[in-house]
Parts: sequence; C-alpha cells; structure tokens
Amino acid sequence: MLFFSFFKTLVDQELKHHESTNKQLKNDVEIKGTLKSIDQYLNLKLDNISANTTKYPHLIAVRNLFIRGSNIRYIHINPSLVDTNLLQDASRREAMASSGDKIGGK
Amino acid sequence: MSFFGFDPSGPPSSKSKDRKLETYDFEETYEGLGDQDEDAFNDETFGADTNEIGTNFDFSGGLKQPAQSQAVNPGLSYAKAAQVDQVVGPMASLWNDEAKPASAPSSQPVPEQKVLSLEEIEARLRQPQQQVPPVPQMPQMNPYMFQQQQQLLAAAMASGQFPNPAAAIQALSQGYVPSFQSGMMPFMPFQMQQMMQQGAMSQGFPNQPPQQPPAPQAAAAPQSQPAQPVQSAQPVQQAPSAPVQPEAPASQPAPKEIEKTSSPPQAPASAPAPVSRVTKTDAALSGDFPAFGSDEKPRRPRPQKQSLDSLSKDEKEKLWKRQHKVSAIIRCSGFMNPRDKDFVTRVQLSQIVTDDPYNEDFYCQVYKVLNSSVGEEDMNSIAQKYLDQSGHRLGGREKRADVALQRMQQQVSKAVTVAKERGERTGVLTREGALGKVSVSSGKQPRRQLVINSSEKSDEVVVPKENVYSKSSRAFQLSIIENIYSQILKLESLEREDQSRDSKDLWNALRLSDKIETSNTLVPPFISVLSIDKAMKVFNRLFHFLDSQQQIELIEIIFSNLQNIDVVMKGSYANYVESNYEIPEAEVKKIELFQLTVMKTLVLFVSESNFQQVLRFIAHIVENGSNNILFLTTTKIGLSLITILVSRLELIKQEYAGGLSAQDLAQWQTVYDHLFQALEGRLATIFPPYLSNDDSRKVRNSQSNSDDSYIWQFLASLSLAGQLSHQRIVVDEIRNEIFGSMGVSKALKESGDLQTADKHLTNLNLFLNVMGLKASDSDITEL
Repeated sequence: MLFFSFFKTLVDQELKHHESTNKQLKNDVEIKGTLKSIDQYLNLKLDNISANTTKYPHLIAVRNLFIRGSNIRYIHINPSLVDTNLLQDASRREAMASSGDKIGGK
Repeated sequence: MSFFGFDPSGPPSSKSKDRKLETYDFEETYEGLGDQDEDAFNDETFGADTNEIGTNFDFSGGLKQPAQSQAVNPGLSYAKAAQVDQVVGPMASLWNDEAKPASAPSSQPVPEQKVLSLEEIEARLRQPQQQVPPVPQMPQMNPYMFQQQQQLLAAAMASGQFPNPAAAIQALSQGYVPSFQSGMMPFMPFQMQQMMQQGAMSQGFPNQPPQQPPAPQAAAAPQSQPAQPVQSAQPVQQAPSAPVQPEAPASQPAPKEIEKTSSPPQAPASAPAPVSRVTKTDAALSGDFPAFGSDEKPRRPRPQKQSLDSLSKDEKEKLWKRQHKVSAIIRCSGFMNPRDKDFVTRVQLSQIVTDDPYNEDFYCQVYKVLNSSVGEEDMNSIAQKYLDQSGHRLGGREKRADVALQRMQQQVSKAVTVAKERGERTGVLTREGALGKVSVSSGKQPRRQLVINSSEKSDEVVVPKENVYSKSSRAFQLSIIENIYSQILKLESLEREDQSRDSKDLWNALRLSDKIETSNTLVPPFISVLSIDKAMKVFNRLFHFLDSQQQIELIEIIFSNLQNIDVVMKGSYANYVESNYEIPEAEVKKIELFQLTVMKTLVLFVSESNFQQVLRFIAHIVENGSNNILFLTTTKIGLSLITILVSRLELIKQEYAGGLSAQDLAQWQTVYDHLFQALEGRLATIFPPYLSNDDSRKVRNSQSNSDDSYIWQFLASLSLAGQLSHQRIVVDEIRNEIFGSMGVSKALKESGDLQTADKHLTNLNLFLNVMGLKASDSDITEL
C-alpha cells in the first residue's frame, strides 16, 4: 500500500504546478501525461498524454488512457514532488506493522 | 484387447464382412466430418425440419408419428455412425415409449404449417391488428413458451390426472392449467413468468376453456367474429384465467381446427380447474399488453403511435426521436437492483477506505497534512471525492445531490465498519511443512504471494538485532539507528494523538551507557553512528522527545566525545596533508549535513542554556587536553562549536554580569586560560592551508574559495573573552593572515571583483572590530 499511498499524492499535481509524470512501458513506449487516478494495483489513468507519435502513430488521437500497472517499467517523477524522509518513515511504519510491532495510533 | 472398453474390432458383423475397416486411420474415420455443412443435430437444434423431431416438441395436440429410428447399418464405422442423427436423438428418447402409443389415437390432422423466422413473427405481431394472424405454431413458439409448456406438461402429468402424456398435452392445449398451490409457477423466476405471460398474451392463444363464460370485453369487440376472448395459457400469480386483450386478439378469427379440438371438453381437465380462474376477472389484465418480443421499450410507443396517427409528420418524428432516446436510456436500466448497486459500491469503497490510515496510508496522510492547509481527509471528503471521481451523480439534480452524498457517506462508514470487523484477517494460508505461507492477494496486498516463515517457534528467545551483529560492524550501527527511528515513530504517533509519552524507551535505544570499540578509542554507540546520514537527520526529532535532563546529558556526551565523532574527525585538514589538504567531497557533504542537523540543534539549545550549563559544556571539551583542543580547531565543526560556546558565555557575562557568582566567573577564567594555553603559539594552525593567506603556509585547492568567516568568528570570540594581553598574542600570531587577507582584498579590488574583496575585509573586520580596529584594503585604523 506504500506505493499506492505515494502515488495518491501525485494525483492532479500537474494541474497546479504544470508538472507531469513520465512513464515508460515494458513495450518501450514512453508516455508523458498528467496522472489522474491510481489504484492499489498501480493501474494508472493519464490525461493530456504525449508520446513519440512518429514511432507510435496509433497514439496520435489518444488524449487520455488507462495503463495496467503490470505493464509499466518506469515512472519518472519530478524529484521536488517526493518527500524522501516521509517516504522513509512510511516504509518504516509499514515494516513495523508487518513485523508485528504495529503502531496503534496515528 | 480392450482399450477403455472400446472394441477395436469394430461392429461384430463388420469383422467378417470387411477386414479393411479394422485398421482405423484418420482419413477413414474423421475425414469429411468437418466439411459437412451441418452438424448431426442441426435440424433438431434449430427446428429446420420439424418432421424429424418427433412428437416431443409438438404441443399442439396434433401428434404425429415419430420417425422410426434407423437400424444401424452394421457396415458402418463408429465415426460414420455418429453422423446419423436419428440414432441418438436425445430429446426424443425421453418420452419415446409413452408418446408412441399416444400418437395412434390422436387422429387430428396436423395442419400444414409454414415455418416462420423470429423476425417474421415479430413483424406480424407489430402489424395492425386487423390482419389475420396465422395459426399459432407451436414449434416456433418463443423459448419461454416452450419451456413453459414443458413445465406445464410435466406438472399436469405429475398430478396424475391424465392417462398418458398425449391426453395431458391435449388438455393443456385446451386451457387446462394444473393447479399450483400458490398459483405461481414454482420453478421459474418471477421475471421469466412475466415475460412468458406477455409472450402468451401476444401469441394470442385462442383457446376458450369450456366452462369459462365469455368475458365482458368480448362484447365490446366490434368485429363480427364469434367472441374469442383470449385466455392466457397459464395463470401467473393467480392471474385471471379469462384475460382479454382488448384490441388485438378479439379481432382474430379463431382458427378452425383449434376450435375443433377445444370443443370436446376433457373431463379430467375441467375438474381441477382452480377456483381462482373463475372468480378472478380480467380487471388486472384489462390494460394493454405488449406484443411478443417487445418488452418495455416498444410498449408505450405503440398505442401512442396509433392514437396519434393524426399528428403531423414533424411531430411524429419528434415523438419517435424522443421514444428512441428514452428507450436507449432504459434499455439497460434495471439490470441491477439497489442492493446490487450498494454491494458494488461497497466493494469499491472498501478498497479506498481503511480503518487504519496511518499505517496503511501513512505517506499520503502526512503528506497532505504537510502540504496543504486543508488538513486531514475525513470520511465525508472521501465520500465527496468518490462521487466526484466516479462520475456518480445519483441525485441528478442539485437538491438530490445532497441525498447522494449522504448515501455515499453511509456507504463509507459501512465500509469502514466492515473493514474493522474483518480485523486482522490476513488472507494467509499456512500449509504444514511448507517453507512459506501462501498468501491470497487482496486489495491491500496485491502482489504478495509467499510469506516466508520467519520464526517457527515463538517461545524462542528473540535476540535483539543489535546483539546479533558484531559491535564494530556497520550493520550494528544501522540497527541502532533503525531502533531509534522505531521509537521516534511511536512517540510521534503518541504526540499526534496528544497522549502522554515516555522517553525511556527512546533513551535506552540511544545506548549511551554502552561502550563500543572504534579504531582508536571506546565510545558510546550513539557517538559512533552520529556520522551516518540518517542518524544526523533524526537527531532533531530525537532531541525533541528527550526531557531536559536527558538533553543535557546527551549534549555533554557529545561535547566530551566531539573529537571521536567520525564526521568531526575526518573534517580536519590535518588528515589530508598528502592530498594537498583536499577534504574528500563526501566528507564535505557530511560536514554540511552535520551543520544543518546536529549542530543546528546544539546551537539552539546552547543559545538558551544558562551560564553554568554552557560552562560545563566547554569544560568537557577543554578537559580532554590541549592536544584535543588543537585538533578540534583544525576542523570546521569543532572550531564553530567552540566559538558558539565562548561567545554565549561572553554574552551572558556582559549582559548579566551582576547575576553571576564570582565562583562561576573564576571557573570560566580557568577554562579560558586552559583553552588559550592550548592554542598559544599555534594559533595560525586554525587556518587551513587552503584558506590561509599567509604566503609561507598557503596552499590552493578546490576549497580555497570557501567561506573562512568561521575562523575569524572564532578569533573574534577568543579575543572578546580574553584580556588585552590575550588579544595582543592573537594579533601577533596571525599577523601574516591579517595582512595576507588585506592584500588579497586589494588585489581583488584592482581586478574588479569588488564583492569578493569586500567579503574578505568584512570577515577580517569581524575580528578586528572586537579590538576597536578597522581594516581597509591598505591599512588598519582605529574605529
């Protein structure tokens, strides 16, 4: 759930900051777009996408799309959108919870 | 030899006749099977040839001789035999035995029937009702009718009132309805019954039960035909048995032969007729019934179209368009009932909500708190967001959007309750003797497939990780840090919930009483880990949770071990004589991090400490000996910390001179003397050669342009705390540095770099101003 939680914070960021995430799929297609939605399987919904349309002309007419999470190889994220210390703490909490030393409260 | 009981020798007779067939090869057995246009039972399945089917699909009562099954040609192979459809005849075989005798007495001639396609039937039903429909054709009935008839037949037979199926069929065709207890078909869902009813209506069974009085609507029928109220073949939910379709069937002329069959009433058929059939009237069914094959969609348009024949073409078009639109909307409506929808929504919501967001969704929750002014997300906002994102506008209009939101909020709280009740169900299956546990992936753990059994027996003494590793190993250091982090996370959790917290566990996690051996001395483990990045980063959070006594103790330990902290030790230029005093970049970065984290916290604490406390801190440094002081002054961190302590003491001394006891002042004087003596004669060494402007010492490397103000600040605080004699010694020892710095400043000014030149002078004057002097690029004047 850590990555799900992490990506949730990136939803709609683009609208405010004009940043965008950049995905590379396992079939080497690179797609750039605004993250609109994500689920626990890390399936993505992208909006305003752009891709190398000379290589993949079938994407010319596509504005938004849904990508199955298992097909994604990389996601490039603007580093300023990631709170690494918080991410470390979140993974520590998750590790503690799974090792039985669960923190009860917030 | 038998292979699964299969006799490879083929049909017994073939043995003698044709020995070639004993060997089967593909060509002979299956060749041509796929090429055939039709499957073996195509006819039976699709009803293309009704004559071949036999009696079982003929419910008209007009029974005919079933086709005799062919005698198997003994010369055929099994594969060839399979092509002959009459051999097996699965449906026909069910009633064959009984149907055969029944077929003899039924002398009814089967009318010559034209086979209609479904489209044709529909088309006919939609035609204006004045047209004479053809005789209803049993084998072409819609599937529901089919099923219904079979079930009725079965029910009738089960009632034991008929000697044989044929009689039952005949009775059925004349309107007999087996009496079910509830009046409903017990084995069919309601909807299907409804559809069947509609189908039956539109099919227009023109059967009049003999004991049935003519329905009143029949008189209203304007047609001259003998009144022929249509009776539904089956009373659904105690529906009246004499329903009359007001317009359509009344106009139909009764087919002759069916009238004939209905005329001799069967005695057993009339007996069990339920009372409700007679008493219940047509009130319920007096409305218009949709035609067969048309459910909700065309039902409305039709009467309207008929009544609006007079409308103009435009209006018709408009109406038609509207109807089309409505039908498109309602075509798929009602597939799910509200319970289904609730269920699906809850399933979706259960993936979103959690009763434990701070464990499962920690990053997102805290990130939102940190990065927005709105604050945490509560359940209402989840509901609102879900509504927004899913595009549900259950309300449709605004006033009902509130209702939708309320409903969704209820759903969310329900989902949370369910998640709570479910509790710790992890979905992990353990198999005896398996290496791991097979984990069923869930929404929370989509990918986890195998959980390795970490500890077989819980009664084993668990050795803390810190004790597993060798005390000098990096793993040991890291385990200490992680332990500290765990304690801090727990305390922070308590802090968020405003609960009382106890720093004891955290204090123990620091293991300050422990000693471990490093390369040159024994230090507490915490000192040894303080040069690891993540330990530096956690220092501020850690310090925050300690009580004041623990804070003081920790700082005293740090000051007395300052030279043993790795980042301080490696920050001394003395370590890098061979490499042109170049401090490795990694160390430089660590030094910067230390300044930003640990030193910042220390400075903040010192700036609020009282005189005695600060005095004790600096005493810890001084009491380690003059060599130690000398070493620390060659490091940036050490020099900066000494500067801070000295200047803090001087500040308090000058501001609250009256508040300090003579003993404190005397003690400070002693400490200062120790400090000064350690440095006297070697003051020039506090300048790293790469920052030095003394021609005899200076070395240039990549760090030569870094800020040297911390050195001048130290000299300033040292002079400030000392007397005139001390100041004179200081100036004497670093005279070359002072004039070197002035020279550099002058050279820079001449080359046009006014800013850097100014910086050099400013730093120099930090020191000179303490003594009432001021330097320009050419000379030194009094202030």
